[in-house]
Amino acid sequence: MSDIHMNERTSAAHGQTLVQRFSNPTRFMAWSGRLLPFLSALTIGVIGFGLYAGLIMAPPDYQQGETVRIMFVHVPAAWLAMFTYLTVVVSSVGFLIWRHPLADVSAKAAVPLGAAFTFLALVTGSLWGRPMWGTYWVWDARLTSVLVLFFLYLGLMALRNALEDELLAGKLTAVLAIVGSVILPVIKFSVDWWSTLHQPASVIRLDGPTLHASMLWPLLVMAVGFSLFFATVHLMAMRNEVLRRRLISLQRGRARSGRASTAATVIEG
Amino acid sequence: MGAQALRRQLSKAERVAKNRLGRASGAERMETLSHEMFVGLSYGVTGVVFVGLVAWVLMTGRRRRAEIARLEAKGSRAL
Repeated sequence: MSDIHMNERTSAAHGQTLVQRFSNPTRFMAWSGRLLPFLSALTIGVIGFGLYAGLIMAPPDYQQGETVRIMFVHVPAAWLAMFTYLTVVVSSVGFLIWRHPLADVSAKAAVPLGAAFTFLALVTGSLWGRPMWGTYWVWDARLTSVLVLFFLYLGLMALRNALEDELLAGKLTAVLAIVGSVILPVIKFSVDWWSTLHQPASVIRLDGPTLHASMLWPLLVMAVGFSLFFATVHLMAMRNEVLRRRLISLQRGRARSGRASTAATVIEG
Repeated sequence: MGAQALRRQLSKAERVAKNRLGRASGAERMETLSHEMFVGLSYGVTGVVFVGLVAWVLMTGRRRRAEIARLEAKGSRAL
């Protein structure tokens, strides 16, 4: 993985675009390191305000009562589960077409985060379903398709870990991620295509949100907070992956120099 | 029925209910959760997952930096 340590001067000399220059691994480590403290502080601030807005300021629902407050974590988690998968797909396309190693780093780092958001969407949905529907789980189209998304995330992690050749693992995982993207429209439109217990979309609709403003704005604040959390942790996980590849490169360099010195000793002897 | 008999019956019903709750399985207890508890559980699980993710990436990063520093101190060079 020596390509991950592409020299900055080399990339500049080849007249790269702004995006290519920012995605140079050396520069990525530099700018992400400077950005992370601000991004972390902003994430804590927005999620803190979102919690106050969702738990204190938003009124209880006239039908659901206090239970409606689960929406402020369930809906952003579900949105981020899908958005993270979109990030994996875009990164995978970038890796397969432009073969940029940082695109593979991005895809690999995003998958566990997507699995975590999907897990949260399933668990909080289940905890919301019990008092509202009278059951924790039903095999309806929306719930089942989100469960398939969760298994897809687990499958992407398992496939990458099953192969020793990292380049091949990256390519195969990228192909699976792109093929699996068919699940995104199925999740989004499942409530329209099939008769489901899950309610239809109430925020992202062509005719505008049907949610009352007093609940809509805390929901949007929490959605921004969750997105910032994803951006922060994704950057941190990407930096860890770049470090892992650097570590492997160092270990290989050490092994090679060890072999070279052994060979020199044998020749001299 | 006299007031005393009614009180006795009420306290017996209360004892029976308490015994049943004491013997209730995990699933039966989940049936009796209040709406506030469902809200609390949802936010609790979310908090645990968020804190877990942050702790995981922080610890992984720290471990890798320490390993890189150790190899570089030994004179290793990247391939």
